[in-house]
Amino acid sequence: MDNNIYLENVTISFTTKAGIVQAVNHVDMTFNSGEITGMIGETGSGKSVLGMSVLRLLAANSMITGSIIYKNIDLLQLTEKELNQIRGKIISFIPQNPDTAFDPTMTIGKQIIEGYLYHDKKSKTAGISHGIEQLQNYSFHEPKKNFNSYPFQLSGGMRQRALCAMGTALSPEWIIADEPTKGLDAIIRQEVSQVFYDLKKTTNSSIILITHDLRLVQRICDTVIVLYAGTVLEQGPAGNIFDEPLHPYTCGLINAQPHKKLLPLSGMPPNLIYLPAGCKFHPRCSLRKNICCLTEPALQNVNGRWVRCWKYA
Amino acid sequence: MLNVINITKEFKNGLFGRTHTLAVNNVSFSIKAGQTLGLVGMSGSGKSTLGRLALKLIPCGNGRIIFNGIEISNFTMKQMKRLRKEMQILFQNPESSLNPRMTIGKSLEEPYRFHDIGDKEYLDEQIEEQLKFVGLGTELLNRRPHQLSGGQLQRVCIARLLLLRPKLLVLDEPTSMLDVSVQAQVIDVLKNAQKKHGISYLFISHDLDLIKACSDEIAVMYKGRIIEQQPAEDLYKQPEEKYTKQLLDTFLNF
Repeated sequence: MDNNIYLENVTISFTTKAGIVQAVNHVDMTFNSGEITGMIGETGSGKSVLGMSVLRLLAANSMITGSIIYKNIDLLQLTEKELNQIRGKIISFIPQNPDTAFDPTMTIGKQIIEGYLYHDKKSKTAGISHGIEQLQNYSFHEPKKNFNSYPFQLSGGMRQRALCAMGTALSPEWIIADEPTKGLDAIIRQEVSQVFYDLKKTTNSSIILITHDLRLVQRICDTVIVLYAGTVLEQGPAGNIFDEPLHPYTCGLINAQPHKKLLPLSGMPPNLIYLPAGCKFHPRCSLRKNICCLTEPALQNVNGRWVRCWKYA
Repeated sequence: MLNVINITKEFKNGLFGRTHTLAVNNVSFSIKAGQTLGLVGMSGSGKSTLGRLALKLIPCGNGRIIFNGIEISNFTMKQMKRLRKEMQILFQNPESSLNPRMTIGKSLEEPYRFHDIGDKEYLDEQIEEQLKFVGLGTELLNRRPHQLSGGQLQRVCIARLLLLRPKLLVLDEPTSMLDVSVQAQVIDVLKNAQKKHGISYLFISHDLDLIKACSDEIAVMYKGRIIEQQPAEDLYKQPEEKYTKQLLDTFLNF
């Protein structure tokens, strides 16, 4: 039995006043264990929603269909109580935006060891020394002092690292990290990425990295998944995708980077309530053909990579 | 356009202000009309403080600030009001720069009202023109900030600044909360605005790729001091300071 996470025909929608928002549409994919998988795409492409759905952390107005299989268990069928045995311990989630992810009225340390005390049923003193050790791993210079600090007393970079420490405190098998480097400067960004890299090596954790930071993906990811309007447009080994992107959308994202051409993609991402017919990317695509507006292409295998585009059909 | 000479800022905090932090230490720089000066450095190096000092959004300790030939270091807030139109700032997080309870239209009108320029008709015309310039439509005017995406909000903020016909803009990490493609759109708008109106930018960022693509000259800040200032191309080819080398290395070979 492997430790992969299998997503089968996962569809996620939210019921809102304006209509039904289709955030993720019929996603079939496998997150391979022992790898760092990067999920990239623009804001609203469903990256975070997909990441959160694995642990069913979505808001109450969400509807998930399909199945998410881990070790022959369908995570979507578990009760809340059963799921709590998995959350943090086996699969952990590192939320984005450390400013709002922490409880402002609790010390950092207390929040880091909360899960540890819950799952491992250890004494509080053991918890505290474990927590301080965690902070040390994330290159905090004064772990004891920071352990007892409140979130507002730490800088943005420190808070982000503390959040990572919280997510990895129980050495989970899977870590889902949502934009762990957003708003960090170069040196801290490198530190945080090093932490993920080391985690994979030393604890053999598998990581799902949800990010906009293409340089980060290029550096540490093994596999890349490109999402657009809740569908997978391209999937393959990181090196190949960046050297030779197949889908026009992936090309666009790569060319939008400042050290490439800084060329914006034309148009806006589609409204998720009224999705376009055919290929979801066709209104913004420069290589659009008639068929693109009518029928959605299937994921094609092109030289061992997967791409959803009529160009390769 | 802007000349800053030997400026220093010290913050006092803690009990009775006994802890002193020297955020900006004896810094001088100048920006020519229609040009962009990039300011890079780590978090806490004093970049944002320097940007705010240059606009006199926070009072400075020592030093002189000369804007358009006028020395403004000793201006009172009332005297500054006249100049505020011409020197503006664009913040990092567009979601917190707009009042969540006001519609986009009201937010766009506000600075106009404050500075008392032109009548309503002229204003509506101007708003439409600027929204078009940043690539948005007038259908947004009745919406509230939470109904817009980050990229749209940042463009609304830019439109609001352009309404006042500024001569100098401080851009304080304008795209660090946005994704790559939206970042490229916002930078595009900013570059076009510079070309059209000849605005000078002080571009603060820690993204060395971005700052290279946007600036004429780049200043590197470290612990409250500008340690190096060079034309953009030269800085990347032959950095003089050891710290700059390290910074470039960390970022570019990442």
